[in-house]
Amino acid sequence: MMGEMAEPMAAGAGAAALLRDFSSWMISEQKRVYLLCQRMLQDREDADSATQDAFLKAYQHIRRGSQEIDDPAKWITRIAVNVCLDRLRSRKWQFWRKRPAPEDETLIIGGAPESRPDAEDRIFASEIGQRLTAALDRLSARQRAVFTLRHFEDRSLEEIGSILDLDVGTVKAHMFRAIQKLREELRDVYAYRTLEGRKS
Amino acid sequence: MTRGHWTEQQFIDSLYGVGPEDGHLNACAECRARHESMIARKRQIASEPEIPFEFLAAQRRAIHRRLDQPDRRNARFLPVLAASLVLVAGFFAMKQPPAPTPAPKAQVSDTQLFADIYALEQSSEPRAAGPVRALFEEN
Ligand SMILES: [Zn+2]
Repeated sequence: MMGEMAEPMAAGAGAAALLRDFSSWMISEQKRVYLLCQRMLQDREDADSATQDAFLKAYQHIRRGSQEIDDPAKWITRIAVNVCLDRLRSRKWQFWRKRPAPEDETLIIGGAPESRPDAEDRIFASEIGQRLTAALDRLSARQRAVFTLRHFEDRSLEEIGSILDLDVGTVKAHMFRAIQKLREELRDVYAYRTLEGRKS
Repeated sequence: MTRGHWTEQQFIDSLYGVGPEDGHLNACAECRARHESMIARKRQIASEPEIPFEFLAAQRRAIHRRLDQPDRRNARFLPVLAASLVLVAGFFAMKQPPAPTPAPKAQVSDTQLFADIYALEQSSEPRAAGPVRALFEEN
């Protein structure tokens, strides 16, 4: 589908078809891209605007038709991650920024409450999620990108490397550092005191 | 098994793709079971939360609105351009010949200064009160 979309935009009907194709593709990727931005930026408004920027860049690229896109999902992930990295870098200067609201933090890592009907489990998972989210602040922009793509999207280190334009060795180094910085929180997430263990 | 079981940290490293590649999981059923339960835990924690449909629809509308707009990538440089112009204007303003400096006031001699201070000390009321008092004086 993206092969067709990558054709240079023709006038009239071609433009309409391109927009139609783009719109349906955007619907299929939108939620995932937005969640990725939200998890990287930890701010709802910022993530909303970053998602818009990512799709806008994608559309402009497709309209120019400069190159064939083999894997559209990976391609839009790459665009979104780069938009987020730019924003995280410019945040370094925004010392007036506040921490994300607690409800944002729950949304970022808390997971889907529907899959855990038990109230105690929900609270437990939400607490861990909030701690892990707060801890993501300690990671550099690249470490956060690497960790987020692995933790939430379950991507291989090779895929992460191709999304971020890094070799696997560098991805590994970023991941090691990220895990080191999140050691305590991750131990709590995966402690033997699992949800089942707590019930018994 | 001659080697011991994986440590907690090795399990975590492995989940994130940087664990030991010693084949232990293939050989040890206990560690394999632990590893699988940790994968399940990760999926549970990282599962996708619900995003309201209205929010996503509004976001798509915003994207479509922006797609319709002309490319305004250069617009973000306008404030920088304006600031640069102000700086350039400021630079040329500073290069103008300096305004003539006013001639220094005549130096007051030490004798005059002491006389003034002495008179101030001797006065029973502040000098500023003089004109006000004059309003109430007859003649
Ligand atoms: Zn073992």
